[in-house]
Amino acid sequence: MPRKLYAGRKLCAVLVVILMFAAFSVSAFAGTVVNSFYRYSAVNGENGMKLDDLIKSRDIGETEQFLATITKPVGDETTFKKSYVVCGYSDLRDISIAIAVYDGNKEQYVYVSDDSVWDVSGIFSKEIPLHLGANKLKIVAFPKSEVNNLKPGVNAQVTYFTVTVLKESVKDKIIQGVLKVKDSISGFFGN
Amino acid sequence: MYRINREKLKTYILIILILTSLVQVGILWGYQEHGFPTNFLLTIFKSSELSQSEIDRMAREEFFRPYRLVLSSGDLAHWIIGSGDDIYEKVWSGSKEYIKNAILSKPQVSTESWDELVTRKGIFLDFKLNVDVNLMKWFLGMGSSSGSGEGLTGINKVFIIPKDGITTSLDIVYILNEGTVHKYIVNVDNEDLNRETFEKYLVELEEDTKYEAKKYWVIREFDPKGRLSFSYSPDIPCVVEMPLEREYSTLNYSIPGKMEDKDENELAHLILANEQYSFDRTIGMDDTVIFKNQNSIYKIYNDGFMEYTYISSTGHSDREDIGKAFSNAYGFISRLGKSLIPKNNIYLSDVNIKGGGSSFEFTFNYMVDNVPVFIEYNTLFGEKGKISDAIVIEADSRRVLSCRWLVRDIQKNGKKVRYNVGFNSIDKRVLDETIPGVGDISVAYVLRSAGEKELAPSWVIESTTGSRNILPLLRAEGE
Repeated sequence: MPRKLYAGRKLCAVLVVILMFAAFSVSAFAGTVVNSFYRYSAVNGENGMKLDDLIKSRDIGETEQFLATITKPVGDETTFKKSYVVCGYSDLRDISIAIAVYDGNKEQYVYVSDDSVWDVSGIFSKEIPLHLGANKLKIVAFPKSEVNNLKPGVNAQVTYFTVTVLKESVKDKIIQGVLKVKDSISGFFGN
Repeated sequence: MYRINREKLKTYILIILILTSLVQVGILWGYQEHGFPTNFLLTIFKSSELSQSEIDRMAREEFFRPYRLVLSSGDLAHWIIGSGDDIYEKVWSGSKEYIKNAILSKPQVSTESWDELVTRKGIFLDFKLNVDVNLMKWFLGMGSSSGSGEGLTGINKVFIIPKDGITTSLDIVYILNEGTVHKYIVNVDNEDLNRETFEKYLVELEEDTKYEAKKYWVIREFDPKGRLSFSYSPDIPCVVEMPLEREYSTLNYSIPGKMEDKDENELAHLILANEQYSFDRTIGMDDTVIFKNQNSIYKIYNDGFMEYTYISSTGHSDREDIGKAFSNAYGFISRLGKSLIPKNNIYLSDVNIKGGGSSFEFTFNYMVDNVPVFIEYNTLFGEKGKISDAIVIEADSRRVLSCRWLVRDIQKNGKKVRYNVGFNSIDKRVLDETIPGVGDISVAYVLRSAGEKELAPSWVIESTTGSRNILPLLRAEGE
């Protein structure tokens, strides 16, 4: 009898180990939607921020790109054009993206245009206007349903880039500079 | 008197015998060439027929075209130039000079990857297929057996950077062949496509609003660091900047009336021309018209599908001349095409070497207004089942050996519709599922069945191995 009891306990222990192993392994087999949904649904109560506050704030740090992958820009960039296309993709459903630019006068971020918040699904791209000089951009991705309860890194993704717009005359100066250097080298070597 | 008449009679009989023997030789000759028994006389005295060099020239002019010819400013602007555009002929003619010079030069090790090159300023040519280097030489009039083209088996894509005197003092040609980039430093003096004219074309493209609808990015510019979740060919054009809407014609297509109404005598006249009398004519099952002689057989099915087979047992030589084989294929298509579908535009879409080089299989497809027409058709007749190309023709340097042709008369019907062709309108899940990677994304017409009569464009996602996924193209708002 005790031997049978011992065997039963052993079996139970093995089953418990198997169940625990299976429970912890399930997340590894989950798709991105489930996985990410788990991450951003973890905000309980009303502790999060409203989108407008999240956009305005200067003090929010960058998070991982866990809701949407920004493919362009890939870092700080320089351009001669007065518009820029932000590109990326999201494999999740019901995700929205907002783009803001830092306004030095107001000392806060402001929406880059009237339609700078939009829903994305799959591949997305958005053309935004730029001003001359450095444009500090903030790109926020969040689940549409949680727009009033956002926590960076939990259910809100925050990414920063700087796109600097140069004057066309700078481009000409660069070309002229290269030509001068080339001429001097040619002159020096007699060709 | 009687003696003189007898001599005359003998002379007449002799003349008749000589003439009949000539006709007999003609008959035998004609059977060899599948022609009418008196064709041998035509071949001796013909003056209106085209010479071989003339046929070769026409083959080069009509079928040697890039699938995509693109001018890039290197600043997120690439214009796909169509054959109807004013600058097309000059850019294409200049590009041929660069390719010719590259083939004659020694390749260098390229430190630049194709990913980097496609975003630069220059001229990009996509041939869609990997054009065998010997065929390319023949197309360029270099003689397919010349010893140039070192280390190059074929040419798939070409990127040309004309010298600008700032960053480069010589012209650079990059050739992509089976995934390897070959770099050639050349010196081309061509007024159609030197740096000055190239810059002039770019200004024209930038300023003329008619080219706005031909402006693209390449996918590498959308994803400079390769973060997209699917792999892809970096030079795929995509519309990212406004306007995302482009206008496309709606097409009508049909089995050519001459084939559909099918009077076999008229068909014989159209397809066999002056050889028609050397062929037996029979009507097979399902009203299939069959023309047959001892060397060849033509089958014309009810749905406009046509098969040709050379059935003679004449052996092949070991290594054939691909240029001559192409010329034969061109002659066949040109002759039948002019009779059946004179207005259709056909392009070369693939070449395969068969039997270790004893023959070549050329694939052709239809194109309307520089928009390709893909075939996804299940034939109702014959044994071929699914057809994915308009014309597949096998030829050697002596003759055409076989041909399968879905004959369709495809014309614009005057209706034009605006569609949303933005890259972001493509279902990403389809791109993710394209294995092993996305080879090309295009707006194209897809011909599926004999029943439909109207064709609207679709998205066609091609994998790097050639399989296709077809997605609906959504109309622009308000259409």
